[in-house]
Amino acid sequence: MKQPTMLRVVVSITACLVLVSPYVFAAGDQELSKTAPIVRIMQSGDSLELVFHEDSGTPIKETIPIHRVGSVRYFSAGIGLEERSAHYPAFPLKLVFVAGPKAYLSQVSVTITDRQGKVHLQIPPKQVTGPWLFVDLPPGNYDISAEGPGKASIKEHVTLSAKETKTIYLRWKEETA
Amino acid sequence: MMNQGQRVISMAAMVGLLGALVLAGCSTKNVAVTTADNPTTPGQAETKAAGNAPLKGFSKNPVEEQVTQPAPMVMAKAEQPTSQVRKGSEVASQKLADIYFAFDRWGLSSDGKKYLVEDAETLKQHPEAKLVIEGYCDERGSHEYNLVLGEKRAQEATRYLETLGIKNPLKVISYGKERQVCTEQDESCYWKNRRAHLLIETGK
Repeated sequence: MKQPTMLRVVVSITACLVLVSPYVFAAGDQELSKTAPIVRIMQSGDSLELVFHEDSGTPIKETIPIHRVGSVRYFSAGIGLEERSAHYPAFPLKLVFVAGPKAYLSQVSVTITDRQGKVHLQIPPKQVTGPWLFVDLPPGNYDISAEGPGKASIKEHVTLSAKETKTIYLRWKEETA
Repeated sequence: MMNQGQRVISMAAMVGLLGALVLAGCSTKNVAVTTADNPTTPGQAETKAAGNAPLKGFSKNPVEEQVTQPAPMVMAKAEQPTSQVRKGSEVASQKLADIYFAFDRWGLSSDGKKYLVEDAETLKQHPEAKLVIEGYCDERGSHEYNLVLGEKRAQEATRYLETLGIKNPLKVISYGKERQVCTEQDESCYWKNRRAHLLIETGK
């Protein structure tokens, strides 16, 4: 192979690795998929219940709070392979917070505005306990602004529909020490 | 008077004797080094790890590498590292077993539960004792993520103790990836940091 071709191959492989790294990090999810926890929204509507089954068959329950601002609901999850192996309610927006090449981040503050600059949601970091944030926004165009602990603000634009969950990765360059 | 043949045999015998003495001396020296510096059995290795000797560099010892592979998910009564860190504190360990976790997980393994059952037996003898459960993680991952993961580990240990009937007053603390007991960057070290550490407060 000529040198420029080699260089192109190396650059392509590197780019691919960078792009898939969040998925590689979560590779353990597939391993757990056969024992994926059962997730349901509690009747009160203010929490999710995750039911895990141990090898012995004993069920373990975990509760994740669902927050609400007006008609918009949101919840944070994704701590440990246990939570990342669950299938959550299909909210239209899923945010994933990543620091550095593959480390998940939590305690991120998030602000979601529409195209006219109207603030729809301001989520404090203490409610973002995990690296995943699911938001039940109505279809439309939104600007997302996220600020990691001690980190600069990151902005993303997203168009949401009612038919699918849009996943947005918000990535800061370096991992927190 | 010895003839020439006898002289040759005599010389050979002396050389042989000298050689044996030299070899015996070397052999003794080797044994002394092994005993003093290198643990020769897993038990010895663990004992040294549990003592005050710094863990850093321990995994450079091939014997230690062998001991920790495959990395066990759960070990009982391993190091009580925080007792070093919290010198002067009012909290002391009361021989409760530490519980170890798999990478990036907070669920208890069957061994983890087994050791919590043992801990529960101890706690039932001290129902008024104040229990502290500390959650820790290995160094991988962000500080914030590990704080939550450590808390979930400690909470899971708490939940299981409660199912065993433990009603001691308790508090949960997460140190995330702070206060590592081992700082080598490999699995032989990482597993030691993924733990829930149980302590009984001895008073104020």
